[in-house]
Amino acid sequence: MSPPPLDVPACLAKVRLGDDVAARQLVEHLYPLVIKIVRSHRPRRAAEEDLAQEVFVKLFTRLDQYEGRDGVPLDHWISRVAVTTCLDALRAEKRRPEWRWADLGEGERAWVEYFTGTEPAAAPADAQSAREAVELLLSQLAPDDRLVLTLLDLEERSVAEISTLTGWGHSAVKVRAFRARLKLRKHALQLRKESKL
Amino acid sequence: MNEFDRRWKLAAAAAAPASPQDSAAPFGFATRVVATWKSQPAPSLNALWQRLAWRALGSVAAALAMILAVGATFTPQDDPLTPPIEDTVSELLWLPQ
Repeated sequence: MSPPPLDVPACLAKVRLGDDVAARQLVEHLYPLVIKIVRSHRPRRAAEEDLAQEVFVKLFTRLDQYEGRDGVPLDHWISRVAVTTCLDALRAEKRRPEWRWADLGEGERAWVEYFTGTEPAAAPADAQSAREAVELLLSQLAPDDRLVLTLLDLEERSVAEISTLTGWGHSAVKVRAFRARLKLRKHALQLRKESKL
Repeated sequence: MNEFDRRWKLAAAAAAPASPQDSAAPFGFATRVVATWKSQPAPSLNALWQRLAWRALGSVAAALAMILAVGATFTPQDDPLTPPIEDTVSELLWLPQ
């Protein structure tokens, strides 16, 4: 028998009064949503649990800011807190990793060759390698570029959703995504060029 | 959409299902979060003042930039109001009634 669904408004009211049990229930209730966002957007070197913890601590310390936002579902608000926390962590990285062709595995090379190819070709079948190649290329981008492509292409979110999550305007999201793909292509071509040296 | 974008989106779609799906909070995570939250010091009045001051500074800077932009747009090339004013002043002061 599954546990009854959490009464979120009642739980929030208890958390505001400092109830530890309600706070733990809220963490367990929101954890799947938060960890999904953190896994998608964290820097490679950051521990996902540490970032998730940071998101929840922000949630509790800023709960008074949520109070005034009538009509905004808690899920939306916490998603935005999680996205901005990850973005801050990405921005805090001193430098982005520089990948060389020699660092890539066979599967990742196959995907990079596929991205940069111009002749008709079948896509490689290995999904895990696809994930690694995509992450590798995204890790070379600036934090904002990486975020917008992850949300738009990997998570297939709409421009309106991304606008809500990030606070950027619709046009800004589209322009940033366009420019980010150009940079991604440049990185992929650079890697491919190294393979021919 | 160019060929790179098409292939990139295909890879992104192939990559998405490979992400890990385990999403239950690890044992003790919620307790750790609550303990960290409770150990946080209350925000000081100083920090609050600093935050509000930065916001106010931003608003003032934006207003100033707007005023300067509007002022630059409406600066007249020649001053059409000068002759009438000069005429009025000279009429009032020097011309006999």
